[in-house]
Amino acid sequence: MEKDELITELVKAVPGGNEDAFRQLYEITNKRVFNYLYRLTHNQHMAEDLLMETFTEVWKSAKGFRAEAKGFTWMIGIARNRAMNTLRDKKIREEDIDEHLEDPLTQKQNFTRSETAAIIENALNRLPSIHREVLDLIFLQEIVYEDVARITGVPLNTVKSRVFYAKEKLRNIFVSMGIAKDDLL
Amino acid sequence: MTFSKAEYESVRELIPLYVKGLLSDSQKAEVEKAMEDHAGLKDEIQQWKEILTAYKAIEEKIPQPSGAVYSRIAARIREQDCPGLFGRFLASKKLSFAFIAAQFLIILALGIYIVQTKPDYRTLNAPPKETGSSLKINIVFKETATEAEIRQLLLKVNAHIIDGPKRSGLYLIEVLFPEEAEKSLSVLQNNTIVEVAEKSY
Repeated sequence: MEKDELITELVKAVPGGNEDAFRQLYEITNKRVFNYLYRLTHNQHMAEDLLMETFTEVWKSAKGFRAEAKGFTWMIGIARNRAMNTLRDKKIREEDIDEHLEDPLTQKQNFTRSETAAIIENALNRLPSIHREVLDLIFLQEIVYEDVARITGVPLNTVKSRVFYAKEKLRNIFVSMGIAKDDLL
Repeated sequence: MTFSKAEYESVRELIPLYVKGLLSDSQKAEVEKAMEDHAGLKDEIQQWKEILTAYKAIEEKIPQPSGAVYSRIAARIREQDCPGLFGRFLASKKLSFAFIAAQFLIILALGIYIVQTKPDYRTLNAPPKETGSSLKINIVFKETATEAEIRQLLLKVNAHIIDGPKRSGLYLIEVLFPEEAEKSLSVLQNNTIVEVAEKSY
């Protein structure tokens, strides 16, 4: 069985108090859900609290799960709602998160592969959250456009345009870091 | 093979998913076929591969969640499934409504009981009891008479106090069986603890 299908089947098995299915679901998905939450909060304790809240909600709401969506997409939707509420409550602004990011790298025109990756990583962390989020969902959570649209609640075409705008934005960030637009991407 | 601009764009859109390996076999074949004809797509793929590499580095730096998180989740879901009495009360609208209704009924029943129940004692400042045509007797007991002696005497003649004592020591008593009134009066008058006993009119 494909991993996505297994997750969906486990979500369906949770209602009625099947703790074995729930435990297995946690073991398969907790790292991915945590990665997503950590990327939103940049704080391990907050991400762990949100992970706990997400899985508690999964346990409580699994009976309302409709198989129109994949199980993992549904779970990430719950995690996102929880995280957004917490971030709103705590009034964590994007600028606050950016303060924790590393300093820009010094200008250099011929980059090794690892240097390139480090620069792009740095630039990715500087993307506006709505653009960073879609790339995170694709590249960290392995979620396709249709499901990204479900999770974020925006139209499919908006998701696609955000993906390509994010790439363009990365190139602009390189310039702000003193790197020529075409040196990396 | 040439692509229209729209077809080119639709293939280009798939590239992030292509490099991440999220496309179906048919979509993957479509992208690879398009790459043969468009060098621009190869560059695009290379750029997204750089982003993918950066994401791998990001993923490696994300810490692991604590191993204790599942224990906390398990404790919480068990608490939700078997809450204490107070938790169940708070969680259940029906239960809290039943609790409030029961409280209301208890208060109502208590109120009715208090209103309907007449005490079997009378206070000193209570008004004289309404009585029928039974024999009433004014009686004064001797100073030395004890409460037990008075009680014993009243029970003997089937009488009870309906008023008194006054400052003078006068009680008004009622004989419960009027047919024995004269006999009762005689018993009272001849008893050693009675100072005086006379019919009341």
